[in-house]
Amino acid sequence: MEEKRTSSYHTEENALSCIADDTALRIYGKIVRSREMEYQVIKAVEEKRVIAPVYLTLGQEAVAAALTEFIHGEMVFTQHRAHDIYLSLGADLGKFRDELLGLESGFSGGRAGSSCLRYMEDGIRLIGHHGLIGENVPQAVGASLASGECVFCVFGDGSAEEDYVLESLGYAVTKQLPILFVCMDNDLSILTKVAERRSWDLAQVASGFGMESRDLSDCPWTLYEIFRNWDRKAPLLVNVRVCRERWHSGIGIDGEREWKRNEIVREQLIRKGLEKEVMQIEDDAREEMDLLWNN
Amino acid sequence: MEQLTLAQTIQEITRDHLENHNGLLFGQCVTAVGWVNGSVPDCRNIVELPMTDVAGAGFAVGAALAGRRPIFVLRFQDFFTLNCNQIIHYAAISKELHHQGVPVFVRCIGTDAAGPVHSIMLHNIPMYFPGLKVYAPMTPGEYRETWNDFMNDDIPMFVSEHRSAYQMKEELHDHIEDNADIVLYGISDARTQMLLAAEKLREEGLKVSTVHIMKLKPLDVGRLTDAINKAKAGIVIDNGFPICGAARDIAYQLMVKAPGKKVYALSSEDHVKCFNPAQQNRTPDSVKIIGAVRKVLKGECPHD
Ligand SMILES: Cc1ncc(C[n+]2csc(CCOP(=O)(O)OP(=O)(O)O)c2C)c(N)n1
Ligand SMILES: [Mg+2]
Repeated sequence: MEEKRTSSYHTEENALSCIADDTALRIYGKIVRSREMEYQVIKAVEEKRVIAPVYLTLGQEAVAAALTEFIHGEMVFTQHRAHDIYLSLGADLGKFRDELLGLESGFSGGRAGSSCLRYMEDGIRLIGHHGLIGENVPQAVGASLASGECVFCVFGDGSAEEDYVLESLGYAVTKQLPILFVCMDNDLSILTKVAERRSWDLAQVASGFGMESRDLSDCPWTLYEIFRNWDRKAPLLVNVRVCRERWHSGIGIDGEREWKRNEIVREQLIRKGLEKEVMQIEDDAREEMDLLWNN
Repeated sequence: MEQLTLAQTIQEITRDHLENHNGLLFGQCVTAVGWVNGSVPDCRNIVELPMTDVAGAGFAVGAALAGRRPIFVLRFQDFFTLNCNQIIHYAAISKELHHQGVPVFVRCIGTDAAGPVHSIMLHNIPMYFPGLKVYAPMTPGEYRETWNDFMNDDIPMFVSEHRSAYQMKEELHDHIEDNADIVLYGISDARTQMLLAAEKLREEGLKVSTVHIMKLKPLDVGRLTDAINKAKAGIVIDNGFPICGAARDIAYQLMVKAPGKKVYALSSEDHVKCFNPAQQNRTPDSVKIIGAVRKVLKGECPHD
């Protein structure tokens, strides 16, 4: 049987060569900024400046970086682990910081926190969940049905098992709704691996419903092509194998990641002759996040 | 102009919303089996849901997030036990959490004598959770008021309807007496039985006030206390189960506001609502209410 948890699972080896340098660097910029922001969150948790639970996206951020290239004001429904999407959409990072710090100046007045994102300004429509995993999936379906608009929906491999998520996928097909479903498959529901929880495969189930689906590792360049080629006429489900770097909730580390996407991407860009730009992006991101969190 | 029944009123309000205000209506089997007792119009913007009683509410919530102010129809109240998650954990808390409301109009329809599951009334459940308005309108006028309150706000509303009310045309008014022996407060279809009981008790020479509670949450305790302040004691009558029920909660709220007055709760019993007539465990009827009043007047608890 084909090993599915590898960095190259169903990815295109030459995908980066099809992407313009400025686009590739913009995507890398989002990856790096996401990571730098997460490091600042970790520091703030260590220093007890942030006391509410945090759900870090560290390790998974390449997907949001590619996905948000194609989101321009559409509604985006996310679940508890979505810092990377918030940042990659270009939402206000000061409001994000303040939300985590529990301040009135946070995006929801400090009341909602890390897992309940809501950002409806600056042409962004980000609607996070409130606590029940997968609840954002039927909402995405209802929102697309009600608006006739294209909608984006991001959830996890654990959420995918919620009965209402499966039914929502089915109904999206029935109504032929233009929804891009992205499952961030880190092979973990808290600490339980997929194989212990189910024998079926989400992409195959989606296909069974009659939905076009893909299953691949988190190469942002391959994802970029898949997202770009989606015609927005019918739903598409993309199950993306990612590696969560930190604990389910909180900042601890359990062990080595199976692969380090940010390092792979960095290597690829350097091989393409973009080392100078890569370094610049990294310096800028570090400085930006340091300034944001420590002033 | 001929006066409309409650069902016709709901139909008219709904048609206007769907045809003229870009509204949406979600429900299962709504366009069949009598169009929900004649309360749903045959017009555009109706979504027939698959039999998905958990995701379905999520579709409605998504539609509300997209700005369509959906009407979400549950043909029996017990279905709310499956559908409630999205309403109470998502829609209801959004206003306080994000200062952005998620207005869904949940029509939750109750009935009596329909067996162990379909007969339950559970407006007490949405009352328990922060962020929802809970109304139990029985008349055309009350329904219009309910709808206007929904449209003039952006928070979700749980509307506890009762099938026995759909043919009603008349409005129900409070009757408050000075120095009353008892004040009866009625909720949902218990209000019809309350009125019958009051009539009989008055024939016996008792002074009985009757007060209709349509808005269960927020509760207008101020309006309701006037009657208890003018009476010896009170009973709140509801069709739900007793424990943690609406009647007990409201009785408590009234007693706090009217110190020195006893207000009791009378509900269905803490038993399964079976099919056989002897164990249907219906809404307290006039006989039961009269029995309860006699006990209260003797200083006893009505449900011991
Ligand atoms: C309905 C519901 N069931 C269970 C939980 C507890 N829970 C919170 S997060 C989580 C794991 C979800 O896993 P996944 O969707 O894969 O997201 P990940 O945390 O891996 O990003 C679980 C089980 C919950 N919040 N809601
Ligand atoms: Mg997971």
